[in-house]
Amino acid sequence: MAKINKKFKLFIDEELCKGCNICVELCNLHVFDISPKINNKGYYIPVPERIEDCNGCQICELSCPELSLILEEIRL
Amino acid sequence: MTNPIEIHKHRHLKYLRTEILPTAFCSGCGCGTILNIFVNVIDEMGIDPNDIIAVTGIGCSSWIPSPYLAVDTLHTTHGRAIAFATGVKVMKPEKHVVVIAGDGDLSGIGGNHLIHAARRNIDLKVFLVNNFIYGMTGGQVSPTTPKETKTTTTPYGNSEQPFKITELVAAAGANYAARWTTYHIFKLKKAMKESIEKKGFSFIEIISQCPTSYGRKIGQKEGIDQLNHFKANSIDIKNKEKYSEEDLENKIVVGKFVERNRREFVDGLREINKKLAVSN
Ligand SMILES: Cc1ncc(C[n+]2csc(CCOP(=O)(O)OP(=O)(O)O)c2C)c(N)n1
Ligand code: SF4
Ligand code: SF4
Ligand code: SF4
Repeated sequence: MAKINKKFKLFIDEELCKGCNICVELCNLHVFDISPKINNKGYYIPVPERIEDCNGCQICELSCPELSLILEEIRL
Repeated sequence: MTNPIEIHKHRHLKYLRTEILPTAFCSGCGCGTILNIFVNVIDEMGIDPNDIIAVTGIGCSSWIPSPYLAVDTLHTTHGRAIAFATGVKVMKPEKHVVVIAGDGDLSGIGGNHLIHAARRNIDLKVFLVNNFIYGMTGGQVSPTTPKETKTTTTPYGNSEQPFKITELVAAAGANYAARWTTYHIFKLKKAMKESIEKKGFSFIEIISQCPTSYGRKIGQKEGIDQLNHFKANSIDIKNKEKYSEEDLENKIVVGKFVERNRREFVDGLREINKKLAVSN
């Protein structure tokens, strides 16, 4: 799962994510939705649906208990 | 370009034993967040993992360093991490000796080691993960469980007064003592850096969520529910004076409690060695 805006990319590592929703709830800019579909590990993983709103604050990445949320800055 | 098949991996997984991931922690457990922040800190400080020796005891929190950290680790018996770490530090003073373990481990069965290591002011970095309970064994009362809480061993409510661990460690003589929660990720990260830089006994009590053995019992089912609770109930130590002791009873006072420069334990031993070498 990957979404890109002009400045930031967000990736969810589906092999590690446990669908805890901490990233979804802590993002002040409501970038994430919860996937409507359960994945093959039994988790509803987050989708960075509104990536264009992301300001790169890193709250989601640093709070994630599984190191399964990856924030990358696009260097132009 | 967006490529849905591409699997991206976190840049800090290089500090972990990836062959055993995902972690065994329950979904939403704070232990993983502490692991995440710790590897972020060693990366930003440019610390060579070969210079870290991580020591731990028994419990879910003890799994943060062992097995997950890809550094030299000592996974010891319940409550004895600080005793082993003391031996390591005396023999290898040049290493960063880090202890990460639970409230049950470090303040219950290992409580005496904790206060005496703080008194001796030995250069250990101790991160005590306080989830208010014995998580691994199913939610028995611990020395930090708040009053009145119903746990598996206090079905009618906990009648005991909990330890204020950070205050205890500060009073015992540590060079650094702070309390933060897994909600305060950036403050916690800064405190970890400060404690690593500080010579002497450096201690951080990290209030953390245990949705499975604690959160569920207090009506905070998900990890995020407890994080929201930490957010709503934390009071910065700088504002503490505005509250009465009674008001503070169910609050989490966060911040740096002490920072000072007492002589460190191993340095004290070396000084004696030097004196003896001269007089002989
Ligand atoms: C000597 C000894 N007594 C009791 C136990 C059982 N035991 C295992 S983990 C644990 C408590 C762990 O609680 P804590 O340190 O708070 O860690 P958590 O699991 O909450 O992270 C206990 C009592 C043990 N392993 N060894
Ligand atoms: S915080 Fe991490 S583990 Fe939890 S849902 Fe988000 S990406 Fe998944
Ligand atoms: S980096 Fe900040 S703004 Fe962007 S998705 Fe994460 S929490 Fe939201
Ligand atoms: S029992 Fe509690 S502390 Fe242990 S892994 Fe589960 S949530 Fe974490």
